[in-house]
Amino acid sequence: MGAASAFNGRMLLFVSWTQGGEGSGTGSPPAPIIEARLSEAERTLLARLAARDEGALRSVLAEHQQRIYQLALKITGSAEDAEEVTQDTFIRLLDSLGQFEGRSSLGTWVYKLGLNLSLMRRRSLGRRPEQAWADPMEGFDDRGHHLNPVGRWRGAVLDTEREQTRRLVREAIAEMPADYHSVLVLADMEGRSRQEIAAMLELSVPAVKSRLHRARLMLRARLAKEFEE
Amino acid sequence: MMGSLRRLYAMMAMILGRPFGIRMHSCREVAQLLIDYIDGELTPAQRRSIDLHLMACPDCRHCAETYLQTQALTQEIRYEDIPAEFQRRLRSVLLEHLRASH
Repeated sequence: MGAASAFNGRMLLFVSWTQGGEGSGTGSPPAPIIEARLSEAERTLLARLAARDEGALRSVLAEHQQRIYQLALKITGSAEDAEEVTQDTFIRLLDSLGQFEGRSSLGTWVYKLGLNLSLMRRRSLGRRPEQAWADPMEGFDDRGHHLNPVGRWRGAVLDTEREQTRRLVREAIAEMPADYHSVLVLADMEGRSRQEIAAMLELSVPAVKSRLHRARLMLRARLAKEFEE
Repeated sequence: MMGSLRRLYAMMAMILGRPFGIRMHSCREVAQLLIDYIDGELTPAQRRSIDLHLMACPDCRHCAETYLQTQALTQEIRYEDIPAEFQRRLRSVLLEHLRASH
């Protein structure tokens, strides 16, 4: 039973705000990937890679392949696409070693390469799910009241070990409109800060926050169709 | 019937807030401010107003609860690790690429 089940049917809003900050309610955040500088060890590793050292390539793969594969899988929603994106990311890395100026860590650089290629791949898949997603702010009348009743969710659906829950959540996320999908994946699945996301997607921090909020509301409304009592 | 109940809850929230000089938010405004409420970025007056609204309005309370549940589910959903077979293939392709670019 996952931690999500702890929310089952309980009024937790009155304490939730005290958790505060980015990715509130989660465990320790991942190491920031933006602003990080190239370490001396990474500089040496890159020099060895530029000299076509196979051991250096193995080290880079061991350090970064899992993270890039999972990012690509979350963005593209397909294992086959994730494999191709991961391979393309490292080939791009090898081919552009001379252009890397060392203004970020190697991890940041690889992550941004992987993200850009993942987003390009998702766009090329040509999904057209947008029309199926209603604007979450349209469900209110002229006075701002809910047009339809909002119910609680069944307790069982909050167990992420449950195959049906996992499938429904993953399918719903995969079908989200691209602008909201990328922000949701980076913030709530990858645990990236809004500042990092803004830098990676070339958006303002308020725009990231606005998209993230709408993405959560849209996903909530979609899941409610399956999960309400 | 449900519509009447919702109007009644909204009226209750208005009445509860007035003696304290709290301007009550509409359900739409509560939905818009939810992310700030959760992040603790509202003024104390705004927070009190939303607390009051959530106490009086079950629709907004359920919306807020399930918003947090959505966030928790998204954070907890796990994706497969990189397959071992692909790791071998990837290493092989990249080593070949590295040698070819000499």
